[in-house]
Amino acid sequence: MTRKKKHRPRNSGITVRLHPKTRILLAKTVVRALRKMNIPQPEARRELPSISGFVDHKQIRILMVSSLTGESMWQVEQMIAEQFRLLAKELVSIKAFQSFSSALVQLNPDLLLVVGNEESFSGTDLEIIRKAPLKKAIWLSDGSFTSESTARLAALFDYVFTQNTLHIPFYQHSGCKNVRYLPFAADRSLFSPRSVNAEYKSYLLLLGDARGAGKEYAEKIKHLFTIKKVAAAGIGWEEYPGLKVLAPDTELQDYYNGAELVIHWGGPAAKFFDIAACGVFQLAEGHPNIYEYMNPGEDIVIFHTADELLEKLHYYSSHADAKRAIASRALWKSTYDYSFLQMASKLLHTIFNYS
Amino acid sequence: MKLIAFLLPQFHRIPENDQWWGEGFTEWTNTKKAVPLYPGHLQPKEPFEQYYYDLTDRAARNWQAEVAKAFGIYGFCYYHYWFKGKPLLERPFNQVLTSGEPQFPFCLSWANESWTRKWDGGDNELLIRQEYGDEEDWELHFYELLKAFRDERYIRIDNKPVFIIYRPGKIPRCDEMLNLWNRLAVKNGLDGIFFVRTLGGFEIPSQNGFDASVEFEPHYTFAHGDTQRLWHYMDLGGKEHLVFDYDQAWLSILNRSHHRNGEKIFPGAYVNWDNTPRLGERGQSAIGASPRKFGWYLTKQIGRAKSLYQSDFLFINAWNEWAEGAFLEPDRRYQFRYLEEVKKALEQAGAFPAVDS
Repeated sequence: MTRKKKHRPRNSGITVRLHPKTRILLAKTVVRALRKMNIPQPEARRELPSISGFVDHKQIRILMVSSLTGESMWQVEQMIAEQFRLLAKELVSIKAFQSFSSALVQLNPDLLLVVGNEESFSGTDLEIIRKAPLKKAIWLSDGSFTSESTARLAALFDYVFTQNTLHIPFYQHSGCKNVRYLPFAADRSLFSPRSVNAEYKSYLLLLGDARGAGKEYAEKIKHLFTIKKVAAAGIGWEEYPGLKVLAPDTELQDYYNGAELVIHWGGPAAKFFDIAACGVFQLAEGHPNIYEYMNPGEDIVIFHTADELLEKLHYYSSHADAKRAIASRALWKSTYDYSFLQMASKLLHTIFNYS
Repeated sequence: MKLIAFLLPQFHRIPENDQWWGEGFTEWTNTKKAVPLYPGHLQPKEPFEQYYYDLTDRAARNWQAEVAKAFGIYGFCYYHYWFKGKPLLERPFNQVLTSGEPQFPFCLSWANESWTRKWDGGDNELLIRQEYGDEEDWELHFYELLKAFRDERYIRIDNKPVFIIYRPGKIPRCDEMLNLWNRLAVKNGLDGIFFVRTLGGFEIPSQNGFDASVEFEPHYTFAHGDTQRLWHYMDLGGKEHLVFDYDQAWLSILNRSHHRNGEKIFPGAYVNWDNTPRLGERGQSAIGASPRKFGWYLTKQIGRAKSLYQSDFLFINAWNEWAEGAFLEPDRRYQFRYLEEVKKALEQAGAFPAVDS
């Protein structure tokens, strides 16, 4: 009794004191576990179970390295990770920290997937990636622009997934063999149907610069600017009186939800999906990014000329239920056709079923 | 949250129906002759304890309101029939006005369709044609409605009586008529009329003069939802019968974008749909309806009404459309189960008991 009492923790407050023997036991267990973790695991089966082209993705182990920075993309990163957890056997998600490539040796995954291209990787990391004998893919966050350095990074990977179809020839020219258009889905934590305050409401929301073709579009519909509530985001709108011009860094989700109709040009895929996920009707300039996932006339309406824009604007302004049906279909497809689950599934399919 | 159920007055005899459909015709005539067309087809629908009421009976009207109120229904929307000066099926509602009973909120929906032998509001096999006339007729119609609009039980928004029009697109010079009625309303001491267009199973043109729209389900979804895969033909020994999946129709309702044209929208709900009592195999029926499912979907739709539509009102089709399978009233099979689900849905939304009903 006395001995037992002697080793009882005296402090019953915040600090928990363990019996010395227990402490030693725990320490040994932790050390053993750490040693085990650092020992390269037995070679995973390179040949994944396959039945006439079928690959069981639930046998795949993925190391996902996020190179997405800042607060705006953290939900996207988490959503991507969550889908791979659903689809694959194991997903280990790490940030692209200095010397992250050591995790490759520790984990020996079937797939290295880098998401984003915002962090610059060290020469050592790049070299280890280049030499690593496993499937390597990068899902670029290159929506609006790309660069030589992005192309050089992409060339280290067997599979390159881009946010913009227009970048494909550039990456191919830079030595990437398998390049595919695979946009990020909408971040549904931000973009979803919502009711918004009057300050966000408009009849028309215009997204795009009032320059070049955009100027032509603006001129064609400017008669509406003074008779309807119209908001615009982009460059060059100041010269149009009656418009509410949104500041360049305005978060648009509430404006999407407040608009009866969104008109946009310029083409980043994210915009199509974000507007669709709010259940809002969009009239968009035709762009190669649209056609792989969306179907004009079904979940989006397309224009190619200023005249066509005006004609379709008139039609859908007076056919509210046709407009609503298209917006509803886009909302539906945001869940079932162009969500992160479909994108993640497509990525795995591209890598493991076509290789 | 205020749940309003559409109420059909065709549960009493009128000379016109006697002539068109045979002596003694009421809606019960259709429901009684219904037969099951396929395994699991729940026909005929029979009222709880065989209560084949007559709505010219004050006790029946009071019973309806008492039951509705007990389970949280806020009010009834009575169908109103007016054919250029000629009212039909007006007696039960007029008795509600003159007797002051039941003490239960109400509004009106003008079912402005022609009556046909096919019950489809079309232009073939007409029984009575819906016509509108001009200013003189509109004024006459207004003063007929004014009695109701002035009633303290009449449901108001912005202190204006809520008046629903079923097919405004069919009314020539509709905005002029609404303007005139608003002027007459003000002249007669009201703040105006809160006009609501029905979003139903037909083309809905863009028209001025309305303060809101109401989703009339499942018809709105049939016509404007994503329903290409909804309908299926059932082979009934060589005859085709159209069926649809109860859950799929609800899925379409619940996944619809709340954005339409910027106007105020009152969302809708449907209990069930089966109009074979009227049309036999030429009708359509829902496969898979049940009280529990209805409660589940209603709960979700109440959530949408509050969060997306910002609406205090939700309209249910229907209180007593027995010949269309759309009724909340207790029946022999499910007894009060549908109404219990209404109460549960309201409780879940923190809206039962109602504060101001």
